Amino acid sequence: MKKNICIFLIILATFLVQSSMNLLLPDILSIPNLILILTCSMGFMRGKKSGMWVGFFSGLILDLFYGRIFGLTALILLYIGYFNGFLFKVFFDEDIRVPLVTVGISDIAYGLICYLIRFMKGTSLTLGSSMIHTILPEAVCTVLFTIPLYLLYHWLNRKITANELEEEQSPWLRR
Amino acid sequence: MKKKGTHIKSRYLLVILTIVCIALAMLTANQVISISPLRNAAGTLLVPLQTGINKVGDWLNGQRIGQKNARQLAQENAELKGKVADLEEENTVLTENTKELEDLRKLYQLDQDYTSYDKVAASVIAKGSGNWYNTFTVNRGTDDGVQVDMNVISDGGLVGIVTEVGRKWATVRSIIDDDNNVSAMLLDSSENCIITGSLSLIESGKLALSELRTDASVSTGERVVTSNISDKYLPGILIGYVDSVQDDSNLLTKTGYVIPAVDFRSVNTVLIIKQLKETADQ
Repeated sequence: MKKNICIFLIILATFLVQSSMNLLLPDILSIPNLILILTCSMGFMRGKKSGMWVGFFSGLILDLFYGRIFGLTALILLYIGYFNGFLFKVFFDEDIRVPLVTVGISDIAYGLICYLIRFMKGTSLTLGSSMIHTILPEAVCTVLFTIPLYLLYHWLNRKITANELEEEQSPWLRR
Repeated sequence: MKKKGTHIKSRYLLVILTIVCIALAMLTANQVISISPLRNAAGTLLVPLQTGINKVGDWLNGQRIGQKNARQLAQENAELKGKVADLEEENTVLTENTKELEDLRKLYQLDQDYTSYDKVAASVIAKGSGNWYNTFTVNRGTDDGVQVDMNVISDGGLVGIVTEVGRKWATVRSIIDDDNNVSAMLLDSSENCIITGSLSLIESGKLALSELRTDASVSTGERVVTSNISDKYLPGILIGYVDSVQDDSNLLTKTGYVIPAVDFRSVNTVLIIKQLKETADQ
């Protein structure tokens, strides 16, 4: 329970920072997608299920504030969390290179899906210009922001899992 | 989560959550269940937190601007900007009024201009992802008399329209959004046209202009304002300036580009006009 509250608070904090990003750093190339970093990191550090829950809830929060279709972002992030969770068993979570790559791929995929939704709604935007002006700059910024954020999330996750272990020696952390 | 974690396989959880998402999307899209009370509650809770973060942001920016009285300068700057916006806005109205006096008064039937409307200043506290202010949240809501469909201006130009409102917050959809169409007119010739937002065009700093009659005379730099036949926008608000216009292949209409009056990369404070456009069906 304590763990869930902690994770929820992390989601909330990330959302708050995300939505004020433009005011905190007005001259930035593109606003990084911090929520996506969180979802990827959690999936990678804690497994598929955590990734899914985090993606689901943070997507719902985003939808609550900005979504036109309630549940859509939640759905996309849910899958991003799930797929990132596949790497949980493959790599050690100390290796920051893995999240860098997966966040990059996830962000581009996220951008493409958003473009697809816009396209279905009849936007005049071409894929090329959307790629150059929106998706790629955002991916670059998001990847750059992954470095400090992943370290932060990793540290927080350490605390959470340590706490968890103390409470009830669960076999969650195998190392 | 932990309990479930040991019982439900992640694959099944994925299926369940997918169904939940799709169900939520369908139910809310068809208005079967309404999430606006939830939105309102969440907004009321989060607005103070976001205001706090923005204060930190403002403070950081203030530090960056200068050394000693940077904060003061920033504040002064903001005030001056507001004044410039007001003056610009007034200027448009004055030009328009002169024009009216000449011969178009009957056509326009403007008995009020928008400077006389009651306005409320609001600051942007959050925005959707992406670089542009296509949708954003401001810190004024029903408590300050804001309602859905109220017009939002800044820097003397039209920013957008209120699409949702809570007690202490409101969501604004700006005119650069893909979903947005504004019925507009050229100020000098009072020819009607449509201004459409497009996130691809705004990358080059433009809005699309269409449905302009082919024999309408247009000159570059001409002002484009909201028209009086628009059903949601109040008449006479500056949208931008004509950039270029060309004939369509059907030779009946012209399309072109308009450079918006507002800088949509940095919208920090806006004015919400507390006057709704009154249309026949209301």
